[in-house]
Amino acid sequence: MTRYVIGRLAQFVPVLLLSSFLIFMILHLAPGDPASLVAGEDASPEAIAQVRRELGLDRPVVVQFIDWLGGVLTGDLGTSYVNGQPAAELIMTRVGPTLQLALTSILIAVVIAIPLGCLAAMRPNGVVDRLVTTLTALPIAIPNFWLAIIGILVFALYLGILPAGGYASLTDNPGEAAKYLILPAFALASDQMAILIRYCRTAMIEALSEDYIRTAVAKGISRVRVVVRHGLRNALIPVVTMLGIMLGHMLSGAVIIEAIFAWPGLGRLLVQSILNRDYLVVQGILLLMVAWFALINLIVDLVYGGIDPRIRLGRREVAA
Amino acid sequence: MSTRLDALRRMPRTIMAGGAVAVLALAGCSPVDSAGGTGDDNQTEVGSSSGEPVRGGSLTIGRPADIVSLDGNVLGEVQLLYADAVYNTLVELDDELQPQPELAESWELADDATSITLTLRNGVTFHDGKELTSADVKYTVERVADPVVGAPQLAAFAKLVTGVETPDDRTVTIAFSRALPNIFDFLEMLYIVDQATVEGPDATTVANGTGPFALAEWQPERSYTLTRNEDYWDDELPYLDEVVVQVAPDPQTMVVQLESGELDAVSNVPLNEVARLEDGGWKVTVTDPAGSYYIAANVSDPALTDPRVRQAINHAIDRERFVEQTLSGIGDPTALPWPLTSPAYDEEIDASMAYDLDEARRLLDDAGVDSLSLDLWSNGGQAPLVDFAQILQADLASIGVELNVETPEVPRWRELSQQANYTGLLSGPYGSSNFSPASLFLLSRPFNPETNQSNYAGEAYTALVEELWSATDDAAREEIYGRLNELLLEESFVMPIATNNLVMASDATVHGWGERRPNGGFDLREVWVDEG
Repeated sequence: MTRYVIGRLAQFVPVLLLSSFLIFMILHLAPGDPASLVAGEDASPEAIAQVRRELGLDRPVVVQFIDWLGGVLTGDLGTSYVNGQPAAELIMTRVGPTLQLALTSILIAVVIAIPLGCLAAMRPNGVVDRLVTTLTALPIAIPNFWLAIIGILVFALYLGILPAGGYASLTDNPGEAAKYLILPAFALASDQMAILIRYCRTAMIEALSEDYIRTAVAKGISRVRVVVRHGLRNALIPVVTMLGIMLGHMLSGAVIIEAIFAWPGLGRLLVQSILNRDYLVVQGILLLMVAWFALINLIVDLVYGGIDPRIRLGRREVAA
Repeated sequence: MSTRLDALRRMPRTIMAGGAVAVLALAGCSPVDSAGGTGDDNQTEVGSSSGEPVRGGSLTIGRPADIVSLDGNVLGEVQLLYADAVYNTLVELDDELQPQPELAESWELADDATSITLTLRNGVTFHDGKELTSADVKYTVERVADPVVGAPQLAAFAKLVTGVETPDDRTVTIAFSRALPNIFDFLEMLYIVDQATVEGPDATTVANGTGPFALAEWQPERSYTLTRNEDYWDDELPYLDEVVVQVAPDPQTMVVQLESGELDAVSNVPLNEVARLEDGGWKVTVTDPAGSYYIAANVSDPALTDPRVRQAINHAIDRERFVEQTLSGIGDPTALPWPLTSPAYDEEIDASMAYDLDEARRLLDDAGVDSLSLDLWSNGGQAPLVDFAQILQADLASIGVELNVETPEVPRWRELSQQANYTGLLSGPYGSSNFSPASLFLLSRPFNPETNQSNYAGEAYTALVEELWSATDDAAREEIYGRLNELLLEESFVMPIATNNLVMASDATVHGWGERRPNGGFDLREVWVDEG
């Protein structure tokens, strides 16, 4: 097991290296010059050239990449062209808010989706099932930014019970933080939750139609026990895969929700940095996101083993 | 025409409107007449409901973007409020663009305007307690010439500085390579910084200025907190104890935050929300424009070398419609570079470039152009211009000109603009039109005789700008403005469309929010909150 994890972690290195290189090249190919953005709209061509020199942007791209890579290996992600702050510092201050929002959303999605999905699957095409499938079509069809705006209007403006935007840290002030979290977390969770309900329902229907379920029922085990112990356990495998993908998306893709709720997350930093052609910050964020995805994948694979002993990753598989 | 309205506008807010505002607001009438969109009537200001400012209290302000730097010399839209709160300039321009003392208590401009000697106010200290001396001024002036600082307007002026002398701690003499009667525009923009702080290891976390507020805390992308500078050199100011600036990147959310009481005051109100906020009884101020929207024509494009073709395009710009449809009626349509209040503005000359498609077609016929295909590179970050591109496209199509609209994202647009290698036309916003008219030609790229993005290098134009630069008396300047305005329309290498006005709004208990300095800074010194 440990060897397997170490092996998988070792595979990250070439993945990160290759993706960094590709990202670096693509960024530099995009039109737009960070020097001209730093120097300002009305700067003279000489001024822009001077800024380019001082930022080291006049060197060949490959040299810039190697320079950056050397920095990364020693823990230095470089500094922002825009404000001279260390890129690592800029990124780290955004990780907390992003994790807070993504994990809360996932939690909301899971807590609501799995019971509802199971309930719907217990009697396919029954009243509950039809209700659930119909209602879940709504959040999938409605863009979450629209839900976000409606949520702000209703809960912040008309009812005045939740703030329209802003952020507080869960570790500093949990009560305050929860207030700020509710609207964006629900907005971000809405479509993912609906998708997860449907996913869970389908997987459950499939699992419940298996022979072993019939056997379990024939043995006289209670209905709830059949569904939870035998059905859900098997249905969870595709659901966990889905959760992994969702979490990956939420960690990287909450840009619009972050902007609407003035949430100081990574998505906004990424978009701003791209617009400013702040290459090193973009590079740092994307590196982090690639690592995240890889790590989530690993965790998902490990969780499989916990759910289903048949695919537990023992020594034998690793040795093979 | 603007004289009377100017006088009205410049009356102190406390005299204007008075208690009537509250009554109007209650009656559901708009206290601000900004819907007109033409002439000056959108500048009416909301006065405070009672005279005496209240001291103390806290104000929470929403801004569309966070500051990018704590450096007072970094200029730009997002820095405006911060820089003016934490730092001071040497002089402050009043509404008539006349210099008033700030860090400098007096000054003397040489007769030939090639140098200025300033005497600094006594006993001014930075927030860390260090005393302000002439060395700080010398450092700041020399520093901003470096383009890496990120202040192109300051760098443009600083490049003309040939030397800074500091005979004693309170005296500074700045010498220029040429006559600079508009030097006060530079001093208005130049916030004095402390060398030890900006070059120190904590430059990205610590701010040290002489301004009315000190930076207490900065949480990037969330908020920053400014606290009253108890040792401020003006004992009377500021009124507020604390200002919290919150970042509100989504304009609609920002408006809701104002309405729900999370924010007391906001800037950059979306123009389509203005009428609704006014109806709801919020104080709304349309500030004086500091710039306009424009279309530049690349004169090195073979299709646009003939000035008659460029004039034809200029006549095909429906400026009234631009303001009505894309700016919700907020802004002044004008073909001249200036705000209507500028001494260089000339209504008669402006009217000669009317929207007239027949005239446009006639000019094309004159130039022997039957049909034409042109590109328009519209700045993707400027929604009004992106919308207007379609209006212009339809109008030009009716006179046989096909317009291909491209909307590059900002970095790409910036590159096209700076390298001036685009085809056809380019649209964007410019600033600095509210300073001394001479400064526009130095500070604003579309009008710069050397670096404009139209590749235009008319000798007559360069000579006239030179003449304006050196002119030291008002009568001479007046006469040059007229000739420049006519030449700009004749050559039509850059075509202003309408002024770009920023809208600010606040709760009814907030007084003084909406005052901006000519340098664009939001002036917080005299803002106060009526707690009752």
